[in-house]
Amino acid sequence: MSRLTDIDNYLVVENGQIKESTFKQDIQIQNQTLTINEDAKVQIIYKVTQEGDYQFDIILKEHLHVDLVEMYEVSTKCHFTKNIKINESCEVLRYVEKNSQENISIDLDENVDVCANAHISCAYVELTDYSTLSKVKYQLLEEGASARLRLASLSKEQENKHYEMTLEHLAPHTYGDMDNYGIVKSKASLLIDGIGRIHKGMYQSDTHQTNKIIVFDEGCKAQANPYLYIDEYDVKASHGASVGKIDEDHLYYLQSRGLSKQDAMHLVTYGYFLPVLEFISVDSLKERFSDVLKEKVGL
Amino acid sequence: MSTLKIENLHVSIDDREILKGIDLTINTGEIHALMGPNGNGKSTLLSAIMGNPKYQVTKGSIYLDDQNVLEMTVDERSKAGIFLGMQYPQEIPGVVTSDFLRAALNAHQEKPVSLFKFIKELDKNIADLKMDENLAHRYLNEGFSGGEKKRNEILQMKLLKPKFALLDEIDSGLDVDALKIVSEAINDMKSESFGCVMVSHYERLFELVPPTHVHILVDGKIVLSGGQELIDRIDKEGYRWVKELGFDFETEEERQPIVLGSCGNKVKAK
Repeated sequence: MSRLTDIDNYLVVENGQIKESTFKQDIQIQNQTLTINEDAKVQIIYKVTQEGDYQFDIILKEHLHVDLVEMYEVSTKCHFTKNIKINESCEVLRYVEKNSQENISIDLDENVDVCANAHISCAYVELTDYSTLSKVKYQLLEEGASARLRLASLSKEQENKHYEMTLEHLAPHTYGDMDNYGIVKSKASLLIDGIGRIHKGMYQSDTHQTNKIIVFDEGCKAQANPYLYIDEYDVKASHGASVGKIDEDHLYYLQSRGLSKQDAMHLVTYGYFLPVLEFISVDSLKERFSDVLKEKVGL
Repeated sequence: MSTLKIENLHVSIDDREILKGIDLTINTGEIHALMGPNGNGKSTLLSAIMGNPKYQVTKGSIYLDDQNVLEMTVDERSKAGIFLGMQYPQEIPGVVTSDFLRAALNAHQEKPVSLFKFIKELDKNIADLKMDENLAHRYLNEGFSGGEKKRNEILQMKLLKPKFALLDEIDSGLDVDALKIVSEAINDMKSESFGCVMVSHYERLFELVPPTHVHILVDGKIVLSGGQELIDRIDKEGYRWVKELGFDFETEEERQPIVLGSCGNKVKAK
């Protein structure tokens, strides 16, 4: 995995230790906590080569514009906890990508606290070769907080991937929206739980979610479960879930123009994940996404 | 010169036989008009030649020169030079039209087309067909009007330069001006290395693109072949006279009352 040239601030954390750091902006690192004090683009690579429990925290100070690119490079079984605090009035674009060549199991707990009038958009790209139980929870703590999440996940071969994506509304006037997209192939299993939770008194909150999985082969398992827990009347909420095959008529149309079945499937799946790419600000990441998709989907 | 030769073709969908022995030979340089009442197998024939997986060929053969078309996959048929302009082109969200067109073009040649050359050719064809300039950036056929979809089919034909174009009701959904543009595009393709089969219900298209051969397909068989005179007679008298020649088939009018000129499939959809 390489450093992105269009990003100034770069940090490598290996097995919980800071391996490398270059900061052009006011950014500090102390006790496994990264504190960002001014507008910045930051790339963080988490390397894990030794089994264990790891934790890393990120704090964004008030009124910042931050692009955060986080990449996991994991070669052994591990458990990772990450806490992120996004303070008042921040605008954050976040991209999280996982990479592993090994057939291992990675468990991840990610908690993101969003304060007043802060907005975060986050793309999760999970095209990699491992099994995982990932629990991602965004807590909208104060009024005006918003979070928009998009997940692109590919589960293939013997992999077993389970995502629990939660938007928890803990203040009135909060907004949460997530679109979770998955593809499952061969003997793999993919389970996506989308959870929207609005507590009592958190009026005028919006929580929305869509969960979609495309199933490629007969032997795979897919489940998309939308959950809404709402204890307040004055809210807007929606949810949707679908599991289905790739549209045969679409494939036929594309093939009738000379595209091989594989190329046709690549175009359709790339298009299917396209909403996730909209959350990616760096062009080189979009290209990587397409290449990795090609390689991993075998298309 | 190339030849597309169809012999004794039987085709079924869900075990119901639609084509009951079609014989048809098309050479490049020829334009064939395929006519017949709705629901008698015209679209099925074109789809079977392209290899639509919904249709099962139970008997017969299709050869493109010495290549056995029935042994080819859909994309191989396209690469061999067969093109089907569909009656209902698919809308594919997420697939950007220019990405798709470039992938299709690349599939047809050994070396990938350079981006510059591709854009130049695409822009020229879009302008010729008087299509929306933003088309290249839109999702494939998504939100296109009926006329735009048909023009997009013609655009693909122009880019892919097939040996044989099968055009299934390419004129439906087109207004008079668009019909002219599309007809001109087909006429531009005419050459000794291009053959075409057009399915249409309207004389107008055949006036603009005069066919060299005309066939009437009823009840899964080609019962009459001839020239322009068949089109004139159908335009004046419908298909009843074909029945009087001793061929038994159902016409759309007998099945359900419909407005003359409306498409059988649309009526069913209601």
